[in-house]
Amino acid sequence: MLKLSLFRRTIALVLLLSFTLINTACTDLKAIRAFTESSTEIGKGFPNLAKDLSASCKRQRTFQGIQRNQFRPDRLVAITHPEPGSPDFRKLERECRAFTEIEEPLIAVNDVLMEYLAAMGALAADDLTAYGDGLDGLGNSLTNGNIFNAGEVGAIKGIANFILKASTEGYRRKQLKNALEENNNNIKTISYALQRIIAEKYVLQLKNEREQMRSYYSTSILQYGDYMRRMVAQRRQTGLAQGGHRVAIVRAQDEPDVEDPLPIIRVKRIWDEDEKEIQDKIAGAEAYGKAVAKIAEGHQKLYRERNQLGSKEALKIALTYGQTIKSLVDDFREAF
Amino acid sequence: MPKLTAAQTFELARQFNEVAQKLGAYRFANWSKLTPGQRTNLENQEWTIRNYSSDFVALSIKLDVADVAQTLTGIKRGTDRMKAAVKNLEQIAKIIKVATIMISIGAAVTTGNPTVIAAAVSEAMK
Repeated sequence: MLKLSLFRRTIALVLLLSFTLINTACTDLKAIRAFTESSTEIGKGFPNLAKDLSASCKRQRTFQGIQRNQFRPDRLVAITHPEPGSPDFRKLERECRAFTEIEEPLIAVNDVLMEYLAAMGALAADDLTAYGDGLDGLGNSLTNGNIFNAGEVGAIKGIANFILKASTEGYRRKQLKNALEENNNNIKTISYALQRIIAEKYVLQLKNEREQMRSYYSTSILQYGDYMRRMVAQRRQTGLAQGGHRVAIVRAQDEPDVEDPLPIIRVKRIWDEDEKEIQDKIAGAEAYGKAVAKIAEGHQKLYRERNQLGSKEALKIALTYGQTIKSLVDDFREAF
Repeated sequence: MPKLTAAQTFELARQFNEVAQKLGAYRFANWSKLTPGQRTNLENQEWTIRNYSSDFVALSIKLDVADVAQTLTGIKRGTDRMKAAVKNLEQIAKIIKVATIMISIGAAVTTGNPTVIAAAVSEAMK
């Protein structure tokens, strides 16, 4: 009887412990997956952002071409919609080649970061899903661009190797701690490199494009003002020459220089749309920069908690950073 | 000679962006006082300097750029002169001269030729 009671108590204790462990594991999984899922969301639209580096450069040049040829519709079509292989197309490609060359390595590095975060999420979920498929040819992408220094290339390759090892050797949840330890410094290095290029340099290029767009609209409006003034002056002269129309002449002299502001109102609306588009891109690029900074910061804090990833503190870190990154994803998506 | 670092090249991009913006603002604020020839000249210079700014942004994403040490100092002096000159309409000749020097520096930096860069920078330092 005593033995049976002890057996029942032991079973109850085992069940209780198992339930607690399962519950804790699920909580871990949920929090860390929330962090990695929010983080990988920011990477999905990244190729659009990277390709906008050369696109922004081309739009800047296109504004200049339009302004120089605004009364030549044949040239306008060739400038705004250049046929592949045409002289206008080749000119734009040549002028913006330096930006085009860095797009591929940038996309490759973003992929490495996102693959790593996906792998981290999979480890947290104890999921054996294969990852790292997109990392083939990474070496070529990195050397083609010559945009990352030796330390950064080392960090990128270190993370890529970890992902491939995790996939081929079937890493499970217990290796999540190793992931945090092995890659913490590499994540910081990659995050800083991406912030530097996207939130600073791409943003300055967008500002150059914006200034060119403003120059285009401002010059056009001033030229329209000149045109209207010439029209008014011409009418005054015509009125004087015809004679006998004193009332009309007096009215013309009292009129403002520009008689027809309606085209300007319409132009300003188109201008505002262009302004918004660039402003959204600047906000999107800055959001991306902040998100990768938060990814590195969150990773660092989880690294500090690596020996107790089931603790309330680790849970809080993962959820808080996941939420912050999620809000940045919304800004990013507005533009990309 | 030490190479221009990515950070220094980016600083050039910033300064060229600023000068192009100032040239545009000057042209618009003094539109009615400028002759058509002056407007076109200033506009061409503004665009060229802005395009150099973009070229420098792209270069700054890459690694070491050119073998020059004094370039930044020269450009800084050019930028300061431009800021002082655009405050006064009488300085139009000076504005165009400073912008021309900056365009020479921009062209020199993109070629990476130290002799050409040194010559262009020494003009800005005068």
